[in-house]
Amino acid sequence: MGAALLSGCGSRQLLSIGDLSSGYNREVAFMSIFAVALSIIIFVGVSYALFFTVNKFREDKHSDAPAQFHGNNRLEVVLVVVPVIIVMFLAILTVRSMAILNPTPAEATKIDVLGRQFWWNFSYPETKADAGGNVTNGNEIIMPTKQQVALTITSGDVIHGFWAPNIGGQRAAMPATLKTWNVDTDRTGVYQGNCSQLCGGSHANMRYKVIALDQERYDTFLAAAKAYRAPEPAADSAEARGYAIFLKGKPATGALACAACHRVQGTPAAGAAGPDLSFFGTRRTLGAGKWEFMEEGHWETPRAREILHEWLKHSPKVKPGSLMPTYDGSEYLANGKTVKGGVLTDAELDDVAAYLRSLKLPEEADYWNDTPVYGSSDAADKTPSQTAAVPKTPASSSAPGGNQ
Amino acid sequence: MTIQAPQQIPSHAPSARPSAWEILKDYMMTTDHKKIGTLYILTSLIGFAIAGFLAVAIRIQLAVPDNTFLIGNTYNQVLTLHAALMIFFFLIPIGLFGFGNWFLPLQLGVRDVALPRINTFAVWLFIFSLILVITGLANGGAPGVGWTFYYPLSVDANQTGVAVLMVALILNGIASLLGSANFAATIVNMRAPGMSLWKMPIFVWSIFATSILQLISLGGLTAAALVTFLELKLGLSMFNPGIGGVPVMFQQFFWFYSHPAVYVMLLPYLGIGAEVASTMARKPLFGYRVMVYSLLGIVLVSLLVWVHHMFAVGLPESWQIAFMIATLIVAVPTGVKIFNLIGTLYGGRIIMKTPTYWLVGFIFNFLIGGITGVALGMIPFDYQVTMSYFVVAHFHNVMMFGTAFLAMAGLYYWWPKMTGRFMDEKLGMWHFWLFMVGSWMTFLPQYILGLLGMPRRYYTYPAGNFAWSELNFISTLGALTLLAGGAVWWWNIYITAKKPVTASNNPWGGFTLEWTSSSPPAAYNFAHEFPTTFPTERPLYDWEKNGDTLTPVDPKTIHLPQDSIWPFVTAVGMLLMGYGLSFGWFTNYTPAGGLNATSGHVFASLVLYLSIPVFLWGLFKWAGTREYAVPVAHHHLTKYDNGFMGMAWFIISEIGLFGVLIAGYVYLRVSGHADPPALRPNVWLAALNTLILVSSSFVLHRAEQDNHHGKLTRFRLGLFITLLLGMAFMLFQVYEFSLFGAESDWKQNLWQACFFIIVGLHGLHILIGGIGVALPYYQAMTGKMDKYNHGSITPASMYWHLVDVVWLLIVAIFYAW
Repeated sequence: MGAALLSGCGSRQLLSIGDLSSGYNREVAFMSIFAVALSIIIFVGVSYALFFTVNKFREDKHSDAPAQFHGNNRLEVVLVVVPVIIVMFLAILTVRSMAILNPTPAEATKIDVLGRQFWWNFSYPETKADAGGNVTNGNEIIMPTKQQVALTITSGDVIHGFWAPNIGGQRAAMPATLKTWNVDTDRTGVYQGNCSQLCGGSHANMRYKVIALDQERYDTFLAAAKAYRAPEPAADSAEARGYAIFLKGKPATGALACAACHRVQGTPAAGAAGPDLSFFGTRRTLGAGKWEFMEEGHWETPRAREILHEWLKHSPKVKPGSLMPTYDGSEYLANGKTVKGGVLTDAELDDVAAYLRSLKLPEEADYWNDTPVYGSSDAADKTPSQTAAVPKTPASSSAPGGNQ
Repeated sequence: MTIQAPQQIPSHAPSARPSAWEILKDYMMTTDHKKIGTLYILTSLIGFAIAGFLAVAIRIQLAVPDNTFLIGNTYNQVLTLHAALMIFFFLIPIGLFGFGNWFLPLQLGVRDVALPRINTFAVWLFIFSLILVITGLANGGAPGVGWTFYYPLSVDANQTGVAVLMVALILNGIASLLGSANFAATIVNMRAPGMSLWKMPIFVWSIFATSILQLISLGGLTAAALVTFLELKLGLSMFNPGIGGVPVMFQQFFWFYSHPAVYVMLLPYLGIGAEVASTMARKPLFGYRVMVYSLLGIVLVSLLVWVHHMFAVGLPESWQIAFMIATLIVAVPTGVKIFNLIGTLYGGRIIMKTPTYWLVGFIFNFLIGGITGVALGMIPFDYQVTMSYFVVAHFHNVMMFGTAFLAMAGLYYWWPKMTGRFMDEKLGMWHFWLFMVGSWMTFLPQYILGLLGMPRRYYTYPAGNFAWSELNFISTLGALTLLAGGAVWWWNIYITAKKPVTASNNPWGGFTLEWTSSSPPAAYNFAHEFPTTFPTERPLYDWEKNGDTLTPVDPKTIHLPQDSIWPFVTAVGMLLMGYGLSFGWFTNYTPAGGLNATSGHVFASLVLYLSIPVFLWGLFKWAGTREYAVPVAHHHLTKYDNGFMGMAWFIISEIGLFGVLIAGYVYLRVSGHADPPALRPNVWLAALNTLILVSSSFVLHRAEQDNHHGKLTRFRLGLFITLLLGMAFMLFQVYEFSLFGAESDWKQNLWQACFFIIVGLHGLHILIGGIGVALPYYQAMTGKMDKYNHGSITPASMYWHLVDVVWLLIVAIFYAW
């Protein structure tokens, strides 16, 4: 098992607080140089003293009668004063770094972050969409490079934690509280973010991607997103049927409308209990980063289609604790009570999926295009990645990812 | 060594093997601090074993990416139980109460703790709190909220089993406070004649420091658990942001205890380590006084660092910096302890046996843990790695392969004293090295995982994040190594139990008083009196040098407290009450919605009703049974008796509990979160109640004096009037509560919720205090009080006065303000 693991696929994402493209991490690194140096001196010094003492004075090597002394006050004073000086020095370093890192510059780009069980919404308070509301994306945050980005972080339910180590430290997302937090990076790329505060069954599946773009591409994205209206499906197409279900559900079988919980910019769908789906077709992750579709074809691959189908059908089965209703009549937990989901046929689910896939930004605003995933060794040779298997058939895939 | 008591033949050497039931009955009734210590150690080891298996389960789930062994909330439940059991049922109790009960009286040269029957009650309450957690598994499952049970996840609609954990933590806390107060009273009141505080063994100092810390800070955890419980059951909340509450305040409450708890899990072990170092190096402690000062320094500073668990929450920078400085400073006294341990070893002739290996292993590991702890204090770094595997590695570094190593040192060191048998040295070394290597393999990769961005409490992770899979796999191999070490250890215990009793009184050549008792010690501990001169903290060394000898005492003249089943019965009452409170009918009771009863709730409710008579029956029978079978004149070093002393220390914890809650309320009030509703309880009724309560205090004081002067009839009358006044107070308060509860909805008003929580908690204290006063009344009425037996009047009246004083404060902040 170990050998297979170590010789297996290469890295697809590098998360590290040592990513010095971020000014935040550079500052921490500067602070840490002194701390690490002092730590090494103390560690080597004390462990040398310990092993020297034990080795020299062990019974078999040292048979003299032990000296019965009760201590050495001068040495004690040194052993108190020196550590006090060291920690005071570290405290000064800390305060210095905080003074640099914590204040939010007035000109910083502002992005609002909302954490919910178990997904994220990222919205742009300075960019009102033409169709109404702020430009918002679910689970994928697009930010400009080479500048401070001021996040305003909050939670809609329990406490979550915003943490993408490559662009800065973490900040708790507290309910009913707005906290501002600055992140930055100099390098264009895709980074991994995670929820860092235990928030329930799918705490581990509350991930997001950070896509850092240079100013020009960021502006292109934002302009397109501002002007974006969900494409009108052609009459009688699968997308049109899916859109109808999306908006109204299927009351005859108890299937709830997607629009009750999700927003799609430029349509009447304005729900806020689930992640924003306006650019769903552009995104390459599903279930708050539980599944990634980085390989060529993205949503069009059979794997992606099957996962999306399973997801729509019964999301709590493939993502523990997911609060989305089921659409196969199975039971799910809503507000602590077990309720029965409505029913959509497989064909209807595929219609909804087709509609979701059609929700795309214009090509030039596709923030994924040619944005390198940081730390990805696969990106070079373009081998299709296998992030997670189709939930239904874990045996057939090379990397198990199901959750039954 | 000339200071050797004659080998005592253990008086309990039975002619026939006692049956299991007889042994169990003996332990249920025992007031012997050694048997109680054994119960604590045994329960803790069971807790450690269960929690250890849970840890292995966690590591198996994380061995490979996208594993499906334990997923979602199931994983969270395992994780929560692992942490809660390790902390509350292994690391805190085994050091403070296991070794504390065993060796504190022995090292002080006394025959028991100050309040032996309180001790029996506390140990069974502790065991029952573990049983309560386990019954939760059959009643909707374990909580999946982490041992930190952060608000609002703890009251999230999809969560299970939180209420029972809250109740169990409160019961565990009561047991813990009673134990701590008992230790503190023992130390102040009951040392061997001639032993001053500055001549006490360092282990006794460490237990003293820990007990004080526990008494001051535990109120934080109790407050957090209590308010969470009340919100779950009745919708009373101080944290709900929907009505203006502040979720961060939960964390303030929680960490006000749970950071000091880290030191509760450290200080007793530092005491053990120092004992082991001094004995094994055959040398005095290096800087005994400095070590005591650093213990006390740690107690003080550890109360001022809790916010460092919450840096990433984003509190005001000035707060963060203040707490950061305290966090870094606490490393200084902790460092002193480490340096002095090395200094103690330096120049000695070190016996290289298992206890020494555990000690050296501890010093080395703790050094790494300490350094990473200081790093975590540097706030911008903390923002990066808090809530990551770096923190997981850090606290396992200081607790699992830090202080738990000293727990092992203590077990190997004192095992011959406790059982009369030596643990197998060879297996002991296997145990040590498997734990050492296993710990490094498990946790050192986790430091790197934290730096590589892996958050803690993740049940799964995707394949392909740089180095995550490899490091997690190594970590799992390490956990399996630890499991193997644990198996070797239990095997060692098993084969040791079958060996003959061979240990001498003082197998290691130690210098403290426990080594003058037989191995294992007789029920009366010592069949001799000690010399009354204590030149240093190493009496045996000094006495040998000065030619002092022990004076034999005829064991037949020694009187010990008699066994009693009633503390156990009282604890059973508490267990039933805890079960009923956890699962009873008022789950989700609302004035509008009424009861939400199901069949399970009905059963639990019946248990709750049953628990009250059981509890009172046990308690009154207990009060009616004398501590000693024959009249015994008590010796105590201060002019106050043990009941007074125990209650005086216990009261610190009550002040802590009310202090935390009231501070929370005052903050909410001042910051404008909690404004009182237009209609609020009438100040005139409160004024009347104040009059009633203050008069009752005067009456009780007068009654106490009457008792002192032997005017028994007036004494009884005084107690009776006190009880009547207490009842009048309760009646008025119940009336006021029902009026106020009907007027407006406490789920909608934060001030009202605070009022019900704090004033209600005070009402509960009136009830407890009233029962407390009823006990001496019962004793006086049944003729149980005489020249030697003062009954429980002193502690009861102290508690009553305390409740009175708290009321005055409550009138000021809830009625007058």
